[in-house]
Amino acid sequence: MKSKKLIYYSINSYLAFWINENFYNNHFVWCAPVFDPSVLNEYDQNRKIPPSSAPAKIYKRYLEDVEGGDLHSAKIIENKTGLKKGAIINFESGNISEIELARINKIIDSALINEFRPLIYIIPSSMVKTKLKLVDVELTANPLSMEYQVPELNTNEFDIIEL
Amino acid sequence: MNTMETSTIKMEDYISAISRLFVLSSNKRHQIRDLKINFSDNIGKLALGINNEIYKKINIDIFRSKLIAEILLYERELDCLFSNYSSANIIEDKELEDELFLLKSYIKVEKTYFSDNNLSINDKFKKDLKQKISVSAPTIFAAAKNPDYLHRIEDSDYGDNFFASAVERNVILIYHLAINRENNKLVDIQNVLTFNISKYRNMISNPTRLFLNVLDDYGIDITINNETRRFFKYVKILKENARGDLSLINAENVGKDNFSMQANFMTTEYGAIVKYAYGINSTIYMRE
Repeated sequence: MKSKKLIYYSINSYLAFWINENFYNNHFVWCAPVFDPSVLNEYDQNRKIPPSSAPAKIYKRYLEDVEGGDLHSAKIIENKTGLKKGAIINFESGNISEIELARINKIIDSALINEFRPLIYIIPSSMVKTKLKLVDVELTANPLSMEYQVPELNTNEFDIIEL
Repeated sequence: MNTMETSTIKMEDYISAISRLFVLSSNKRHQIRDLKINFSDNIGKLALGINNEIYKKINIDIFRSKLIAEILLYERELDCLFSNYSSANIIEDKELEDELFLLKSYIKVEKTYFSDNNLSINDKFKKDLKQKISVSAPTIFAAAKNPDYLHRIEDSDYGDNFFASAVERNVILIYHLAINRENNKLVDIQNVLTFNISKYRNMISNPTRLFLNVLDDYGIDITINNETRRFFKYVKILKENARGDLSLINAENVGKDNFSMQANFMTTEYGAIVKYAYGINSTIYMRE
């Protein structure tokens, strides 16, 4: 039986949250309809979500890197470049000024390891049903995987927890 | 440092070119279907040039690369290029640390925070009030007591300062306030600036960000101890026997009657200390 998902989960660093809150007034997130696909039964299609997109795995990887003090880990570098890409896109669309682009860049470059600690966004589907976008991935990626983006998530549309 | 001659390229074009490469690499990393990023117009050609630079340096061409590890290395290189470009062309030799301190230190407080405090207007600022502010004094006090958004920055060096924003009809009021040093029940309005709502509409909810943007647009470069910034926080004056007064601050290129300076000094047994300092170019501010 196919059940309707009530909650979407998204993992983001504290730094990402902070920058979005302070400069863009909204959040761009990737999310998944389950937190940990590995605990689902083998017939559940969400079990096919690859580990690289599974919120529980992403959370664990961030946490390991932060606790291990590894500022040069792949996950943290990926996060930094993602944040810079976001800043550039916001500059191009006129949301931030040139000097704010430089401020954000400086904030990212000088961030301490603890600022990359992961946060879990709990997003009720009812709040984002018109914004939720299914990502069109290459067939080679994982044809059964379902990954979503919410391009303009407002702060009042989700809750945050840290484990 | 990249070898591409970036000094003749328009800043927006260079940033857009970097942006397209970031989007392409990110799409590849997430295995998102090709979203038809344009590499044939002028910005696209610039992006191809940057890609070529990176290829020469680390032997990775994003158009051919498929390995996640390679794509991450490529993004790291893009990140370096962008950081170098930003330092050289956007902020040049400006120090942003004190501005970032404000952004990173504020906490949101209830907007009724001042309702029990007595508000007063800083004496130096009072003189300017009539001629520079388009809003009446009762409105200024009322909006300060009940602003729309209020941030507090507490720091042993910088002091207990606040930034607040309020909207009255089509006017945004941005406040800088501080707890009075002698009487902590008294809050001094250090500065109020007013703008048409359209100017900073998307920043009203963040008065600290708004204040910094006002400094970006209307602030003056001030120099203390041979260092030039738009905002200073807690700096010890290096000149011997210096007393805390405005003559220590050299405001350049605006003329002495064309700016209003807000600064808080402290003279200690170790010399003069500026707790904070910033200035507004009155000519530009009044014109707009």
